[in-house]
Amino acid sequence: MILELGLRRLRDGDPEFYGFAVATELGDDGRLLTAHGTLYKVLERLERDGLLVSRWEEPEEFDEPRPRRRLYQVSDQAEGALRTSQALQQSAVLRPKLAAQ
Amino acid sequence: MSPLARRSTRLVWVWCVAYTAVATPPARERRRGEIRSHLWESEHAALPPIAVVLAAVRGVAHDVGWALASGIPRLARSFGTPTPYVALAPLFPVQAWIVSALTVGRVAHVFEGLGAIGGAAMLGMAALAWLMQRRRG
Repeated sequence: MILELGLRRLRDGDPEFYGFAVATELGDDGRLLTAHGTLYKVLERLERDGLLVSRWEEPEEFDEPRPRRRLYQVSDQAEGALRTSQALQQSAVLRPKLAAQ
Repeated sequence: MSPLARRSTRLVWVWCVAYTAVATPPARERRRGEIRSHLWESEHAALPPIAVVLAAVRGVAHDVGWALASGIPRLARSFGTPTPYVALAPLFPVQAWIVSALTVGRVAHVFEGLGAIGGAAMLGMAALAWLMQRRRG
């Protein structure tokens, strides 16, 4: 879900996102990911797997007095990984149907 | 911001500080920074205080898992120093004293023995860790 969101943002020309934005955008669809512990663990893992890249927001990038955000962006490998994962999911769905025929 | 919202944010922040305490400094700073920002955004998006607390509560298992994964190497390194052994040494006689006060006969004797041996073993380990630390320079 996070990769889909990241790729959508990349296509929309606003590639960077942060934890709270993910939690808000996923809303009820990603209920589990709105849990702080789960969300940040998943983001870290995706980054470790090379599917996301992240950086701290620089102070000159924002005007309002607020804590800086950790900004994430999907990497070049993310689209391929998402396609593979979707294909695997689809084959797992199709297999029981084939077995039933 | 309502006092309840402030209190719920504070509660989540205290939990974050607690579970990140065992992590390595870079991991700790990163997680604290992210949660600090997340809580600020939650406050300014006027999320209900209960939603903020529930979001933290639902992630507690992952927080603990994350803390253990980031903290275990650090904890393991600390066992190369005398401090944890010195801290653990008095626990053995204390547990033996409690058990022997509550029981009689053989069980009490077994626990007294364990207390004495365990405490002495911990002090021995502390001395060994100290010697090894000295040798490493």
